[in-house]
Amino acid sequence: MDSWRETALEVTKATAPIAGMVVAAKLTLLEVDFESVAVVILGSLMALAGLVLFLIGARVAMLPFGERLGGALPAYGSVLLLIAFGALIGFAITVAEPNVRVMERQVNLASPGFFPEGSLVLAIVLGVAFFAGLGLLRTALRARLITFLIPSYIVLFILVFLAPPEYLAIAFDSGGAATGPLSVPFIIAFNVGVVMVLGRGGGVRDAFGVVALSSIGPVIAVLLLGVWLGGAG
Amino acid sequence: MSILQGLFQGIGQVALNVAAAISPLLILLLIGQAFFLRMGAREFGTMLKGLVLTGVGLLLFLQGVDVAFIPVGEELGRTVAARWSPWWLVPIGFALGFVATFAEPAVQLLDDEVYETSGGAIPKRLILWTLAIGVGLSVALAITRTILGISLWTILIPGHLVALFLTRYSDPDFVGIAFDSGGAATGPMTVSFIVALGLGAAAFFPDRDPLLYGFGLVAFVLLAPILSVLVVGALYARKRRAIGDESRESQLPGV
Repeated sequence: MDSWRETALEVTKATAPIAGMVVAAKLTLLEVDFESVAVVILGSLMALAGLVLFLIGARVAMLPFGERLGGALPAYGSVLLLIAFGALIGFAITVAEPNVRVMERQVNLASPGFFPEGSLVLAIVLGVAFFAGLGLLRTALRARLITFLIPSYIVLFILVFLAPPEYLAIAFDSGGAATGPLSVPFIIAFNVGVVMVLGRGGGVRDAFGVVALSSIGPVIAVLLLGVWLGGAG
Repeated sequence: MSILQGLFQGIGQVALNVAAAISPLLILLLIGQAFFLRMGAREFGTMLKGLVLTGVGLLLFLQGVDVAFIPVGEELGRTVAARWSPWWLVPIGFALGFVATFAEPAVQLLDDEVYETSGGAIPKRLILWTLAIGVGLSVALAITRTILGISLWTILIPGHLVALFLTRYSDPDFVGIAFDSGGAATGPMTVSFIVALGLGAAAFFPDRDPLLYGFGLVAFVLLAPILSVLVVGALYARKRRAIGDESRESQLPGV
């Protein structure tokens, strides 16, 4: 099959530089023994093979599915349905995102009881869901992204000054933790599907921006949580 | 430690994580199929198999990154800082951040979507290279910050303000791509690998909290691609003005 060979070639080209550098660094600078070098080389090949399967699966199924799901919704003529689906996708993906759990565990290890049980994950999930919904509202209105970004950033900067400083690092980190390798392409594909059906000449301009808002959401939510907990404590 | 043991160490946890991450997509597929899509059995099967393939691929990819790249990143950070000087990690961080971006799954797919939705108006790989440069610079900057001990906020807040300001000059098509690309660039490859490097460097300064400084890297990787894509967007806008704006809307697909 052509697409397999093409993807394999593309991934080899994309992975070779980093794998080559890592192997070279291992051989020239670090402790070398047969087994650890073998693990680095075989592990690089495993990552390469994994990326090939991932991209083929994403191109055959994940992206088309996202686009078709997005494309099926505007026919119902309800902006609310679009917003609800945006929020649902944001919610479902973030609840299941392993990075969010890893972060909760790290925070708990660093200072146990800093957040009441489950409140950090809840804040991140609600933040993503609310802002993914907002992202779809923006797509439906065909508003400029900046119209939604600037107020969000203003709220964010105000909260940075209001929240106790120990919450800031965690808040900013949660923006990165909530965006995974499955969620980013899927959310983009979903929104692209909506835009393609809504049409009206939006193109690239409207197709991107939902991920952007979804990654600001958890930052704002965690800062809000910080203001609330800080004020209570 | 045998090679096989080393290669598959901790794969159970990675498999659980990937299964958890893919499950909402499977559930959405079922909901979507039941209420909105109604695909034929064949097509539905392709979607299902494809999603499973995506998960298996992600599992192998993450496991490979975990056993091959991250330990080398950590060891490299510590070794280079101790043997030569932590400053050497600045160019090394740039180079590694640059090449790591090409192997980032979400970045590859973002590039696909940009190419397709722009109908080829934004060439393939332009976003890829722009992001790679952005991530490389952000890692170099983040390591510089760790060495000098500068506060995170003195860079992050002005950085985000500059990003908002740059949107005025950027071609509007690039604004959404720029802010989305921050999320794409902070993927498993870049983040875990680069954080490993940064933690190694932070270990050279025992009085600095490694958690705090390891974290800074992620926030930088989130910001820098936004800036680099907006700069390319601004250059595009200039070029477009220079050759005269010939009815842009009609060049776009899906009209």
